[in-house]
Amino acid sequence: MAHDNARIELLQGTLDLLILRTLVFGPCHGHAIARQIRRVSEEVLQVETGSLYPALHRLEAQGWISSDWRISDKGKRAKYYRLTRSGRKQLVVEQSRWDQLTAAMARVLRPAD
Amino acid sequence: MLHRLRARLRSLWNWHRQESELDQEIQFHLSEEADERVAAGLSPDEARRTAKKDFGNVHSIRARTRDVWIWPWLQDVGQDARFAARLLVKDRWLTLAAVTVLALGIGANTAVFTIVNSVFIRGLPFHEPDRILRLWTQTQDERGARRPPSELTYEHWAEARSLSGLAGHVGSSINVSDEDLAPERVQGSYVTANLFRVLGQVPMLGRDFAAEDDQPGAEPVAIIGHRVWQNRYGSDPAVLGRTLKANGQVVTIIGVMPPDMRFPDDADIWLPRAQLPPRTFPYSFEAIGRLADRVTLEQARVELESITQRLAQAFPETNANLASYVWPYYEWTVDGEEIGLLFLLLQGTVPFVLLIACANVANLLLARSAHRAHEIAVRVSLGASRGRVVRQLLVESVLLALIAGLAGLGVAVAGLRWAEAATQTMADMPHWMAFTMDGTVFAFVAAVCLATGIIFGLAPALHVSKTDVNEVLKEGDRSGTGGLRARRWTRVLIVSEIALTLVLLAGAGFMMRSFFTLYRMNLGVDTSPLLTMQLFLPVPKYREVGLRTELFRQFAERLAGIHEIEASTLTTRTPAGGGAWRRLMIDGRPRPIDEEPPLVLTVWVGDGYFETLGVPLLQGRAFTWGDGRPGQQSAIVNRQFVAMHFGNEEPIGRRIMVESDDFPPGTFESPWLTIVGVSPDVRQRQLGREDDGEDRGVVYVPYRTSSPRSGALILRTRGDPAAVTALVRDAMRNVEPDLPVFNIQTMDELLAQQRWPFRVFGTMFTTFALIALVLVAIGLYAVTAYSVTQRTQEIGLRVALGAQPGQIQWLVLGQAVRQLAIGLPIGLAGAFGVGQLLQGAPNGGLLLQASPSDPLTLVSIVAVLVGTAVLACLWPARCAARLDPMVALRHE
Repeated sequence: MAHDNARIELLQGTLDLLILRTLVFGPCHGHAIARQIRRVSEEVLQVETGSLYPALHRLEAQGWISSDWRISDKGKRAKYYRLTRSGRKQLVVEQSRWDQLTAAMARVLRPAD
Repeated sequence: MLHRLRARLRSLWNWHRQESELDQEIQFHLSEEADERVAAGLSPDEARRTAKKDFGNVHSIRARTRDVWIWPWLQDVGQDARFAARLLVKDRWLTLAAVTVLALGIGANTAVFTIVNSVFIRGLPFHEPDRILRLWTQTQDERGARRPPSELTYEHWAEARSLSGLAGHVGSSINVSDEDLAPERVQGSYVTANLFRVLGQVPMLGRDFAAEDDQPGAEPVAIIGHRVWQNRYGSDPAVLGRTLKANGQVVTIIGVMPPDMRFPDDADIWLPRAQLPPRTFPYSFEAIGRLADRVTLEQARVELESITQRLAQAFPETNANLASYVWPYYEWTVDGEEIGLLFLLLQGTVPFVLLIACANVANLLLARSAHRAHEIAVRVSLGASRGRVVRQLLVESVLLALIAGLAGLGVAVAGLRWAEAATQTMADMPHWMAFTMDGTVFAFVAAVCLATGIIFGLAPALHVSKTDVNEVLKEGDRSGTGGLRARRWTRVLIVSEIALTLVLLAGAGFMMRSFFTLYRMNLGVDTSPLLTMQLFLPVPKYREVGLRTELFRQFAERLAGIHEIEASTLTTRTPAGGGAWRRLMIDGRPRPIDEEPPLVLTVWVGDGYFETLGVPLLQGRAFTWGDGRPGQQSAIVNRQFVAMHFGNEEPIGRRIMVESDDFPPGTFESPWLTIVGVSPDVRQRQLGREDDGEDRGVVYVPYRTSSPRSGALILRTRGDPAAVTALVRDAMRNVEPDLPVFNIQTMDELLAQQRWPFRVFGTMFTTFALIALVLVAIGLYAVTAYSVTQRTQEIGLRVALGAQPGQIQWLVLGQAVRQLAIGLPIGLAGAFGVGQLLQGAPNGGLLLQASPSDPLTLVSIVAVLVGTAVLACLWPARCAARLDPMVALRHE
């Protein structure tokens, strides 16, 4: 179900941030992460599966998340990802960077405030 | 950063597992998505279908994920390699031709590099081998013989400050046996206790000899070599303390040497000097020394010489007239000749063969590239960058080169086996000069293959990658615009092949010429029935001239009694063995004041010299028993001498004096010699040593005049000379049992040894030149044949318009002729350079009686090359001339 006008292009860096943030609450598999992001953003952020899995593997290669295979609550085998310690640190860094960015953007767009 | 690297490397191993895991992950995602949609109300089939559709392109997801794992290019290279392998199998004949050509080039280079590696690079397995010296004494008389030092000399030398150590060794065959194993005969060496310390080599197991081991009455011990340890004791580390019998004496093993240690001559066991069985006749110990720290060779030589001179004065009976002779152990000289240069020359030449091979294969690939233009165009249109295309083509050529490299190793092994067989005849071949391929050689082969692949692959790759895609994809394209550029590349390659081949031919040609000159050198003597051997009479037993003369007389009697020996004689130097240069003065002629008196070669010969050689005197008589005694000093001169100094005058009865060049004129009262006979010219100067000067005549003086201690015995035999050897040894032993007689060989063998460098290197250079010639012929044939194919329509047109077969042939050959015309002058310039190089080689150069611009050699090599080229192009030319115009015009 494509909501074309509501779709916002997600930059690669922001997808990483979203994934890391989502994993704070506990290990998830890929599908659950996408679903979570969609739900929490109230359907605004639709994660392209074409970007999700490359991003997950990239984050894993960088050592910020780790993975293992478990049985899902439905009884099927799935690959669960979770945050590592350095991932947690990276999350803090990314989040503050994001806050700086949005603050700067706001200053430019609404200088009067 | 590091994480990424590690993850990528790990992915290289877990490749397949990661791929399948990803697939599972995607499957799981799809099934979850389908479940969700079913829960939202869709039918299961609909849910699955839409889930899949919305998921996106699975393949591209997989590809992008893969890019995260490893370097993408590595994967591509693997793909390229697989494709290249399939292509090579498909184009079987091309692959075979290319591999053969390259294998010859790579193989030749590998063989030469192995030799150069073992001679120059690998070096000796000692610590700082360039500081190890060999020390001899040298007599200051006519013969200038070099002998190992006597005990007295050795003891004094050992105290020299410029040596950090002096050690001695003497080799011997040793029977090794013990209770368990069969006895075997190995090469061994009796050494002073400090030998290994001087060499800088520690035993691998156990301990080195200590000074106490070398005392008389000490407990007998031995150090064994690695080979013995492996073969007899199965590399058992508990071998220390076991005993074995060496030449009947029980010894305890105290150490094992590492594998490379076989000093000095393939020795497998070392025993202390004190264990030498006693004998009347002193052993001759080779002396080895090591330069002390910060001492130069020159300083050591000066100090050792001054010690030797002091000894000569203090002990005149034993040490008079002795000088020291000190040389680094590692001088690569054979019989005093600098063979090292020849090896380097070989190493410099053989890459040319490889370059020619590369040019040939590049041409082959260029020819084939026209057929691949279509495939390349498709790749480019699908998005491959030029670099990508070039990379793929390079992978193909490197793969080809690697296959050729493997084949080349086979070629190299065969070549090395020949080289080893050829060098067996070399008397002085050091033991550490084994032509084995070690790690360095294999690394070299790998590097050469890589470089070769890139060299011959680059031109075609660059050329093909430039194809204009549109042109090629259009139907009906014939050779394409690439044809013109390809032809230019091809021409350049052929021209360079021709030039390089000419240079190689020049090297071969010059060496062959020198070689023939050597062989044609007429000695003036029929050498086939002659046997030679060297003698050395030891001091102190034979200090007096009278004793020596008497010994020689007894010899002559003994030998005369042997039926197979027709005649025998003594001489200080055999024919073509050189001689002693002496200043000449002729009685009745004024002594030259300002200019140097003429020099002449002098040889001391026995009575039956000319009879033994089978050379009748031209005038006068041979030496008899009385000649050479005081009051009857005589000489025989040769024809050249008479021509130079007497012209038409009668030489018999004239008196001459020959003075040693080492001393100022007038210091030695040399006797006046009366000429009693004139001999024909028998070559006395050594073969191949042109720096000995022109032929200035030879003077023969009776041996008895001084009965030098060392000399040669020449025997004229009936029948096979070699068969007489045992008889001679027996006869000598009956007269003097302890006398060393060595270097027993036929005169022909002796001469062959002198010619050795020319024979071996001449063969090598000629082989390379022939390989190059074959390669050029193949290259020219292939290129001409291909161009005929390309120009088939044009030729058909010409024939249809009335061209004669001869004209067609000329048309085809014309291209080859043009390339020859450019390549030959370049090659000739190179040939001239090679000639200069050969002439400048030490020891009178390697160019005997020929100049670098020798017209005969240059003309013949040009003729050979042109002839080969024409022959190679002839067949395609004739085929072209016989083309049926109807068929040709329709050819695509």
